[in-house]
Amino acid sequence: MRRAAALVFAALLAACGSAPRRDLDFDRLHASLQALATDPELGKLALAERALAEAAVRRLDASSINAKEHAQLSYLAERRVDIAYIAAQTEQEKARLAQLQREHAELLLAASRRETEAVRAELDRQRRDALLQQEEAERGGATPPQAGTAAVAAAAANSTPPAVPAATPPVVSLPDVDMTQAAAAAPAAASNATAGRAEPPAVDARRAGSAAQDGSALPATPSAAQAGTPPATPPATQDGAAQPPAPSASTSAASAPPPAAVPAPSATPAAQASSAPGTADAATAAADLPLAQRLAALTPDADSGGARITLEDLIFEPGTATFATGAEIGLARVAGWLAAAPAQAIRIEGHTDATGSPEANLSLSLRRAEAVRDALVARGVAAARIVVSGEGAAEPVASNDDAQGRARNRRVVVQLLDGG
Amino acid sequence: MTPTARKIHVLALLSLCVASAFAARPHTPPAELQNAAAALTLAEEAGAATYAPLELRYAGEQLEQARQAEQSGDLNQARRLLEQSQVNSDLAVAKSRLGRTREAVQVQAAANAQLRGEPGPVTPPETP
Repeated sequence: MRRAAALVFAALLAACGSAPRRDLDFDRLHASLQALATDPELGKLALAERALAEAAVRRLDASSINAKEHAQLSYLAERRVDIAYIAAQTEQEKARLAQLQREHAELLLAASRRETEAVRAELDRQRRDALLQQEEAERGGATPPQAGTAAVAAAAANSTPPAVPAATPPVVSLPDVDMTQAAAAAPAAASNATAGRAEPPAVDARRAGSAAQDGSALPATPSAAQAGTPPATPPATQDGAAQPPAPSASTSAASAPPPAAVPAPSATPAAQASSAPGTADAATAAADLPLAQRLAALTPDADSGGARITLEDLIFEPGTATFATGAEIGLARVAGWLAAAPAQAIRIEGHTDATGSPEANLSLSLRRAEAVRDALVARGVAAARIVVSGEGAAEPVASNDDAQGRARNRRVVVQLLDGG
Repeated sequence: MTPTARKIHVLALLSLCVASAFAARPHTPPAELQNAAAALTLAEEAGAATYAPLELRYAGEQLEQARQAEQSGDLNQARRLLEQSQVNSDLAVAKSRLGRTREAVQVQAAANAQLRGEPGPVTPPETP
């Protein structure tokens, strides 16, 4: 009996010493929390929520009261674990949001910098355009349009008395210019001669224009003047009126050798008679007639340091050292003038107006002087004779306060040195 | 000690025992009810109706059932329901915060992509 009781007691002890009942809910939630704690990204986040979840899981582990209470604690612990996960993910997302906001600020800064650069570039471009337009406007002021020229020419024709009955030789013998634009000046002188006016070719553009109009002040066109017919049209309509009476003249001017082949100063009446009909067509065809006229009429001025020729800035493209169309006329005349004195040294000075920075003006004046030098060397002037300098705006010849003065200050002076 | 005084002591002892017995009895203090109601209000304000509607509905139903259980005298059940309502409200608040943060991340990422001149990322929001 005692043995039986001892066996039963031993069996009960063995039953009590066996493995404890596994709480699956606890194991699952505990493992979940362990996974959260060891997560490389979420493990260090939302520590408070994780502590609450761990406390809830521990309460679940300690609950051995009854199934109802266990279910309640399991319910609560499971949600606490969910809250811990969600809170950790929320902090992770907040960190990502902060990173994105920093990137946004950097992108905005970069975009702002790009926009600033673009605005600056646009402002620079507009400033350059404004400068170009200003320069063009100054050009317009320096060279009035054809109608204005015609008006001035008419006034000049009225005020210029016919002093000398025959054409006088020019002050300085200038070489012939084999450019088509030179026709503008040559027929002008020719028409002067036929009109009995003594106009040397050393007149400025307006005077040259007036010479061309000079013939039309009496007759309408040079050919009409030759024929002695009365004027048919006003000077302003000269272009259109010149063609009907001499339709063959325009074709002959186009097919004939360049009018500049006829020496302007020594134009004979016969030559004038043949070239005069083409003058009106050449004048209508050439858009840069005033510049061509001025360049074709370039003459040297006497100076204390030697004779000099001043090339105006219109032979260059605005703001550059590139020659404009028609600049060859003036360069050819200067080259011919220099060739007449091969032993003398040459000084070429570039000048600008006072607009812009001094450094830019110095650079531009030097580049323009060098461009003139190169053009003269290309036309046979010995490079060893030439000294080049850029003076910038340091030696103005007129006021820089008005457009006319600035236009005069922008120039390139070619000087024959006496001591050379 | 007189017999009267002994009777008073015995009565006091009995009263203490009765009071202790009442104190040991489970009950639902008003503070728990107020805490659960405040948590539910917080969840609603956090936008749980959008981001965690299920949890919000559970919390509301459990709070109501807890009130009914308290009125019916089942205080243990009322306490359990209040705890469940509270934890569901907390879960709804957490989900709402996560949802709002993810939306902000998406908006910010799209804005950044637009600034870079790229098409915006089209990633559906994850659900925890």
